[in-house]
Amino acid sequence: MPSLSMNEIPLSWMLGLSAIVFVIGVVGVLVRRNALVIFMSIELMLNAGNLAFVAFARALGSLDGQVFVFFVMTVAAAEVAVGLAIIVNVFRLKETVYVDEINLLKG
Amino acid sequence: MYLNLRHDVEQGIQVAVRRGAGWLLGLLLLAETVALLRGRWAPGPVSEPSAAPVVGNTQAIGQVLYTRYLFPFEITSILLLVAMVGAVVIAKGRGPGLHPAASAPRPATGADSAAAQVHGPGPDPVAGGEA
Repeated sequence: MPSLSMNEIPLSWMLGLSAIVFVIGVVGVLVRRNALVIFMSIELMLNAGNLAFVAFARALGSLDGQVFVFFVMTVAAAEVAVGLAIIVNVFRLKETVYVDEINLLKG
Repeated sequence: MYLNLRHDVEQGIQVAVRRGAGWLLGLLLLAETVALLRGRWAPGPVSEPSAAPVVGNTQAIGQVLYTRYLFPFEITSILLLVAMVGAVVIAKGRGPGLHPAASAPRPATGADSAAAQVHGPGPDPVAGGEA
């Protein structure tokens, strides 16, 4: 296989990598029980979406996708901040972060 | 696993069933995505090299971000502010030991206020250190 330069990587490879990373995130959310690992998997899914955005923006010669990645990262940061605060509170309350032992809305 | 070392063992048929279902759903999603990519993007669109940009990528992104996407940028700042305040409020806790302002005795009697006047305005450094 000839080595590809950066401008010759086809779009389908980037989308394939994005799909693989997204599926890893989905499997992590569905399989793991630890809330922290679930959060990491959610981040994997968001970053897979970012990768797809950047790949399409490069293929289409547009900057809009790259700008949108900034907003996705911002929303991810906000979500992680609030979610980690919630996890800290849940751990103070129930002494565990395993999501199948947290089955009550009422504290 | 990270926060406590006691509950690391997983057991029960439900956990195994859910794990299997999770892997199954994940593999199904992967197969679906691969099918979509093969059907649509198999060779990959031939993207001709675009014209050499007159400015760098960073400068172009900055220009787009501050002109066309200026309003979402500002909304993003509000979102970050709200998330920060929310995280602090949620993680602060409500225990008596965690709330120094509620547990500190308040100078309500006349002697206390007189002592405060003797010491002068402003927070007492000793009380501030205790709080």
